[in-house]
Amino acid sequence: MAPFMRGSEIVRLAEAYGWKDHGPGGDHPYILKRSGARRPVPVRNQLENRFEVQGILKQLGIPREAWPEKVR
Amino acid sequence: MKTLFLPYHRQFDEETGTWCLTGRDSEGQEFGVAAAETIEDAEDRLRSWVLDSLLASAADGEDRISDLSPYRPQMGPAIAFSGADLLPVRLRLARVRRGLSQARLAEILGKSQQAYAKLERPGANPQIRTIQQIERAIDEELLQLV
Repeated sequence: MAPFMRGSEIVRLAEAYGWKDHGPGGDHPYILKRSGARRPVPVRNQLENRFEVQGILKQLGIPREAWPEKVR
Repeated sequence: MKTLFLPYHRQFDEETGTWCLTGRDSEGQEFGVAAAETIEDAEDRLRSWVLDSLLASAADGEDRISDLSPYRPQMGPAIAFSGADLLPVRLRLARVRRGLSQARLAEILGKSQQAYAKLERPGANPQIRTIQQIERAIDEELLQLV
């Protein structure tokens, strides 16, 4: 089954907000870090549904207006 | 060995037929998110998400283990992290804080770097003797901490 969204799309968006990829780590090809952020945010290669994407975007602190249309 | 907990909230997405689990840290902030077709698979992914995040923090010398709760929530589901689950995180944190590379600590322990690196991965299950050997090398009681 095709993924809802690819992790690489999240990484591209996150990089515009100052996050940098330090992956891979364990089960996650991407490990996003940003100076001053509370925690690193791991991202899988394939994201299953919009709730999962919303959760990652919220933990990255990306404003809702910047979210892809299909996620809002 | 102390067990810590990650309470989580779950939602079912009708569109994709998948579950999404969102964890909460000890302050009630969102901590981790994972989705899969079954709750069990989503729990495994959320566990992996949290461990990878904690390991990435530890690589910078930051201890985020206290973001997990020492108490099982009275209501609602939670993922339990045993002392053994968290051992790779504590080990990486102790090594980094002492300014040791994996290669250097492996050399001290008489292991290959690849063999040592496995001990800092989720699911590592070292023998007690190995843990004691590491404790002597880094002068920290890992078992007492976990």
